[in-house]
Amino acid sequence: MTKISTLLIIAILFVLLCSSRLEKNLLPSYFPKPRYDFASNPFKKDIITLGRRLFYDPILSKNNTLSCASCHSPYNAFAHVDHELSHGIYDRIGIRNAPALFNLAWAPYFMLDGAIHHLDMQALAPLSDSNEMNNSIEMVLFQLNKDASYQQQFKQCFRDSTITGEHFLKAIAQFMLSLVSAESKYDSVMRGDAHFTAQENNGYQLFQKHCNSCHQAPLFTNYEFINTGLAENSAIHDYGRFRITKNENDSFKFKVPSLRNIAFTYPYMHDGRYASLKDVLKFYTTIHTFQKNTDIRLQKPMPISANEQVDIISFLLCLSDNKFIFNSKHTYPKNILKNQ
Amino acid sequence: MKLLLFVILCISLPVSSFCQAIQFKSKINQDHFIFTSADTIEIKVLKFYIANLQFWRKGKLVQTDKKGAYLIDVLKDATTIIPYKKSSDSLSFILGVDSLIQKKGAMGAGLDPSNGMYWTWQSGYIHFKLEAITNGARNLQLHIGGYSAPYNTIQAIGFPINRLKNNCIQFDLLAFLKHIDLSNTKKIMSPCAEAVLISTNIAQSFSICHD
Repeated sequence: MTKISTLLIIAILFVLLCSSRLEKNLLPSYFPKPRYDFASNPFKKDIITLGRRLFYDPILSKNNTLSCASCHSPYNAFAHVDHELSHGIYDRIGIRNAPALFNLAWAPYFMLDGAIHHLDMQALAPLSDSNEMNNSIEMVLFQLNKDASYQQQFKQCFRDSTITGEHFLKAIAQFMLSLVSAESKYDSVMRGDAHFTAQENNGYQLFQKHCNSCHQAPLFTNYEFINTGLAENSAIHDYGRFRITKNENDSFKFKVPSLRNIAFTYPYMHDGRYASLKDVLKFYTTIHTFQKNTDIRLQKPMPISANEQVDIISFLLCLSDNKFIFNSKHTYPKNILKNQ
Repeated sequence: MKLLLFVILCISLPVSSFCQAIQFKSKINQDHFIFTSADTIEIKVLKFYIANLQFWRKGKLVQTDKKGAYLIDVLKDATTIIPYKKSSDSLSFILGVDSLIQKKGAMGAGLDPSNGMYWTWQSGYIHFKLEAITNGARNLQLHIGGYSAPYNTIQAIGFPINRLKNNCIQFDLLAFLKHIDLSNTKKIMSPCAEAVLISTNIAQSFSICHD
């Protein structure tokens, strides 16, 4: 009896050690403490693999045509390149530019208006939106529960005979949590393994002066909702954060996005109206529409010269994480999905 | 036409010496009924959350139910039994799911988002869901939720327990529907001022009776 319990304790400790090592490997030490409560959904290799399969599987959409990856491509830091607004089921167009996905364990809320307050619940939004996957979690669970291979995989991960909404969402969340981007040139410089060029360094100084109060390092966002003074897109009428709070002062406010991997995630702004970083900097440095709740830091055009703008862009390119973009652990799981 | 009284027995508290337990019982006699000469209603969905059940004695908390939240699906004849301390003289609970649970992420059983009680466009549980066809053609869709100011629809409800009798907590659907204009299509699908008002109407439609 004692032997058995000792063995059991050793086995439990081993599992705990493995899962905490997995977390450590994925979470960079110089980042702040993640907000995600890993105790409620501990990292497990099998669960990340299952989440990855779900992320790339069009079974999630109503007519089996779209997966999460349709609008969140790994080669664009999980954004939708070249699409101002993403198209969902039956080519229906949504109202926002698909955001890049990485470093989500640090985010306090999700979506450009902060509609979603927990990463576990995020997948429900595109899954159910009639312009995106136009499905329901009940239907997805029905489909998954009919699939012997998924049944087996869920059973292996969670030891349940029926696939539940809780475990479906937690598996996708684990894959999204595993998307950590911290291997850019900026990161190498911060770790003392590389140096900025003179131009990049000048761009970095200018960035700190003009941009860092919102796009704070090391995550390159402070997660605030702000109105940048961007003119309303009359074709969309998107009031941003107002939709959630119904507070007039939140009109046209959107979440500050991270600038990591920004070179991969064009076009820019909540409606994808700017095709290049040059256009974005032009917006911040020229006179534009100011609404009454335009952020105090953006009341006046930024005094940044054309040459300085080029330097800032050269710094922004240092936020590209090629290892992240080409990480084979994040890409389409050919070995699992090829037979479907 | 005849007025049919319609009451859902959702919780009963048997207090006999051999049974110290609270029972959650949902019961519906018929899903189509007529209650004024003009209005009819056919219930399609009627579900709500009861959470944070606490038992009190002389104003002091003697027991907190650890499970947290219970989903009551009125159209399903299901019973949940929760033991409680016989010495309790009152109980309290909330209608809805509190903000701590709301922010916890994916959960199972009654709180699994696949129960149709979780909003997908904005995080948060639907505390009370009533979907019905009124007057043969009108849609009534009440998805009452919202857990933070200014549109907090969580309602605290409390009742004394008569230790000598059986205690039944009832939700009187008829009393609640008097607050709703059934002659028009009615849809509430997001946290808003009207949802808050309706949540107080729902809370007021709970009562206790002893037999």
